[in-house]
Amino acid sequence: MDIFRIFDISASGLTTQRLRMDIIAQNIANINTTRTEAGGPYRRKVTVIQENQNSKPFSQYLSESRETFTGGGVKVVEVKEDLSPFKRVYNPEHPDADEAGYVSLPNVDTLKEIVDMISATRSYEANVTVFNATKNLAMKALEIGR
Amino acid sequence: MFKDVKVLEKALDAVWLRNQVIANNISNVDTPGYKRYDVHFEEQLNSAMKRMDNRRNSTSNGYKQKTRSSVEEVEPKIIRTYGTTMRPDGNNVDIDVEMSNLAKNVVQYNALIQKLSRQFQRMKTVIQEGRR
Repeated sequence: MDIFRIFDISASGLTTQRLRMDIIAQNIANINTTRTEAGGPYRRKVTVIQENQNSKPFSQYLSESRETFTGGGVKVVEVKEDLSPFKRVYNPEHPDADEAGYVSLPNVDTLKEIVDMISATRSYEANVTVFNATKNLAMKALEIGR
Repeated sequence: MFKDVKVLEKALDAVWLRNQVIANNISNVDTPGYKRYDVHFEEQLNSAMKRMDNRRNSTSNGYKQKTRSSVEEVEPKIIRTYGTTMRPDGNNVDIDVEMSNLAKNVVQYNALIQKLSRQFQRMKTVIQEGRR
């Protein structure tokens, strides 16, 4: 059994949570952005997270009859845009106001982003704990027979 | 001579596998639709050891049966628990349960390592005492 697979699994968790944090930070930074390159206000971005299955060639299945666990951690599949409607605020003096005087602001809700940020932080810490515990176990295993 | 060591070895392998499974569960704590994995091997190991004892006790005609094979056949089984979803995104990983399982696992691993070390030390002592 591959002894270092657990480190890869935990590292994939750390990377995923960090990417989530990056996206959250971008959302909060752009909370008032009314102009983007695509025109229109900034759209909130969301990460799509999926379990990472280890893809192995079939021959490896035959040789590794004992190894039945194919878990490979987690990965971010894509960064999608949230399609919920923009916020509309009445502000005729704004340079991006339309004919009726309404400005479309990004569909980013600060509270939701903060809650997501807390969840990502906690998940990150949990992954760090697993990493440290596994490292201690592996070092302990070196002490057999000493 | 190494029968006890084999049992401990099996247990250590299973505990390490459980560690891997817990790591996978924790890294997927936010993944929608993910169902947690678990490792079952304690009951199998117990029943295999009971069978071993029964076989040993029942050799009345002096014929020593192969008592080791049952323990060697025990393999840890990975199961996926599909029920117990508590969240709307279909994920059934409870971070508190996983962290407490991790702590239990660490203690179990350390205890097994210590037993294994002591077993070897005992063998070494026996060999050395016999030299005198």
